[in-house]
Amino acid sequence: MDTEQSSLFTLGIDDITQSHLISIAKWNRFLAIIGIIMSLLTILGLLFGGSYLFSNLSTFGNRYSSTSYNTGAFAGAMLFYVFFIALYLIPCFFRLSFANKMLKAIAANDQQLLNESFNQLKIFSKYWGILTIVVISIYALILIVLLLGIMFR
Amino acid sequence: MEDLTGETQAPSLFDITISESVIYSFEQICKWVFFQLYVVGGSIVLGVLIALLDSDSIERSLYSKFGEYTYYVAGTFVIVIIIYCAFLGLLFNFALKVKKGMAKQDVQKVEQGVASLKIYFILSGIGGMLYILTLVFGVVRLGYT
Repeated sequence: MDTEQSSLFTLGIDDITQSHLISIAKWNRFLAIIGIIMSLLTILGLLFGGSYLFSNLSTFGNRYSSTSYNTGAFAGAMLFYVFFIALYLIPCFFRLSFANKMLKAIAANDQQLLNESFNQLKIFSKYWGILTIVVISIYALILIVLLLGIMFR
Repeated sequence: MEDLTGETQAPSLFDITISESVIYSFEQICKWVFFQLYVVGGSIVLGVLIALLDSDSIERSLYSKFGEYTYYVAGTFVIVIIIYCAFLGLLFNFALKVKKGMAKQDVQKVEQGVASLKIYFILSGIGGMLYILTLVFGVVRLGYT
């Protein structure tokens, strides 16, 4: 599908649409770069500020002050944060790819690159859509478990 | 240049066109954008309904935290939601106009949709800049204290 060059109808990309697309691509590149930098900074913050988090875990009380518990909790918290940062980081690359390809396509007047750039935007939208479905499913599951808990209490 | 509806279109300065692949991508993008907007819209409506049904306890809870500033906080929250809805309206406008433009083969509708998407991303970019400025300000302030 993506490699097809044929136009179904004579909708050309005129100069106004072109300027809109350039603007969209530039802002998307900016947002993608911000997203990537912020995600990497958060990972660095977790790595270097991790020891602070680790030391604070001992203040949970005597019951949870064992070293093995602290290590486990620290590793769990780190994995949890890294997982969510990765979830946010992945679409930033799709966004960056869309922006770069769009700018190149318009500069080089390349139909193939234009198709690929819109494909990247499609993947970006699809990614967030699927993530939304996953989050809704988790909420629904929590609701079902809560209702079951209330029913069988 | 005239499209199928007979309206005069701006001539294309470039050889690149809205190909079958781009149409497919646009259709998919619109589909997912609509889905996410319905989810967000549904969540906001649900939140407002819960707030209306349980307004007394929410008011008490807010009053215990903010005291005399309760109504300012609630008002600010409502304004933020309204601005957020207007912001999402741009995305809705994009999806709706592009979808209609594709169906009617109307390049002006597609162009209007793309213009809405441009404004949406410009506002997102400005939001991103404000976020970074706030973050830098916070870090600098933390360094001084």
